[in-house]
Amino acid sequence: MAEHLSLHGADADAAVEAMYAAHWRQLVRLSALLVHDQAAAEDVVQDAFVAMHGRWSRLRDSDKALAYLRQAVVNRSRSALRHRAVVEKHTRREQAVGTVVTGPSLGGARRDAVRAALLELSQRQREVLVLRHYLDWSETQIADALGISRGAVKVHASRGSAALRDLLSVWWEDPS
Amino acid sequence: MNDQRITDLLHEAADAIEPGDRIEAVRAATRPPERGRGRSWWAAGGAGLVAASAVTALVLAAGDMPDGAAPAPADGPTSTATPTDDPTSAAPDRSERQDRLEQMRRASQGVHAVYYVGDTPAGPRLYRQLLTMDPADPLGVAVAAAVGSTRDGRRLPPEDPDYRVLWPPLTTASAQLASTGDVIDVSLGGDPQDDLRSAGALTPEEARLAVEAVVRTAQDAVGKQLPVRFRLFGELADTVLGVATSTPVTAGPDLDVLAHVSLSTPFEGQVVDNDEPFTVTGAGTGYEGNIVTRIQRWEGTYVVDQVPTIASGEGTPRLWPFSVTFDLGGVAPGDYVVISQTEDPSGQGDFFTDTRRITVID
Repeated sequence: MAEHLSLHGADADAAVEAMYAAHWRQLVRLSALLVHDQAAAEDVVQDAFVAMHGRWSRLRDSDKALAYLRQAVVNRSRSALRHRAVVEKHTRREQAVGTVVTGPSLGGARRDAVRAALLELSQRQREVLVLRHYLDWSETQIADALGISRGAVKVHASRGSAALRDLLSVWWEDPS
Repeated sequence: MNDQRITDLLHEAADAIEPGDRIEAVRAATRPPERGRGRSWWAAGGAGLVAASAVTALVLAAGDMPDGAAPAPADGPTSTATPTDDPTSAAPDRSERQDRLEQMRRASQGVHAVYYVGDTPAGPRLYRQLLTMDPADPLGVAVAAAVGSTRDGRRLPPEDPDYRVLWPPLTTASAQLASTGDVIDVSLGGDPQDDLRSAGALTPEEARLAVEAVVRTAQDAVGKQLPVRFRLFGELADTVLGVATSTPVTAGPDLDVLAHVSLSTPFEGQVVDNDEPFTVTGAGTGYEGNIVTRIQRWEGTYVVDQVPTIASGEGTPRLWPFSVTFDLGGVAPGDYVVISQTEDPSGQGDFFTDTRRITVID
């Protein structure tokens, strides 16, 4: 993740190709922790790359481009999820059928449980936890990216962790 | 401590995800407009810019067709024009029956119409594009396509670069025939930040066309001119894009909402063998029903052949089907554009066109 791409003088097409090769997978995974499903995550990140292409003349640097992509993915994931929440609320009401997704294995079930639990958190808690634990960002970085204070980051992190622990109590101690 | 466990769990959950490849989609979305796009654009009679009609007139004047003059008779090899309706004797119901037959034929092939917006001298209008689609749910697929998406919510832009979808980018749609059989239910979703209740960035005219595109696409898919009932995020909607939808919406008058010429075949990018007769079909209306269809080089203005035909009938003003067959024997392989154009009696550049790009092979 720390490798540095030299995109000095690259045009927007080349920059997108290089950034895609280096970061597509991780960005989709990041988005998948923030939204409801993988296809939605791919849509979000695809749109982020398209947006990055349009802004390349102002970025012109792989670090700035990556920062832009991550920010775009976080923001767009939020929109995608909000949209989804409205749709699902309706769908649930109409179908009145609870959908429990379980993976084919213990690990799969735990992974599904983790992603489902994230969706139970408040938006800010989810974003703070994902940026901190998946991207390993500092409180300052998170505060800047989300436009909130460092104190707020701390609060969301601590409440989010506690909520996640409750939601995942079954899986918490399981070392498998 | 808790923190490390959360880190582990999140990585485990995320790293199991194997993203699909979207590089082609990214490339497609960031590709600059193709060379020739500008020409294709004028050929579509684009009126998005003030200068559009002047540009059109200039290009035509430099081409093989006198500006505003009646089209010369075909001087190509052995082209034939077949008015599908005889304006003097055809009863309206005969033409309607033909429409129905054509619809049935298309349905059996999994081909359905989707209405998209394109520019004309009269402002934005709807064009009808045929799409091959999943026969399992043609209504759902067609209506989703009309808002620019697939049934599972992915982007699906029009095949023809001259067309566009006016709905906000994240709009999704599904549709079904109500159990009563007298109304089509269309359910819309999307990004709530783009409030689909109001017109948003669209002008009232564009909003009306966007809704009309869905209504007409749904009607074509079921083969009946049924009214359409709209739901937004599941709730019955009083307005959609600012258009009143408290009662089910019917289609507007053809001549007010449709481009006055619209091609059904060929499809954009079709490969055509120059040994085979090449048939262009579409629907149109206009001054005395005259439609001229020409084939010209994609690059340059050389016209291979042009054929006049008449699309007209009696009864309610509407678009009438037409069909023209070209003999492409001797036409050099390469890229060409098929242009069907209504007559312009005023000579003011006041005509409608629809275009398709084709590739001719030996």
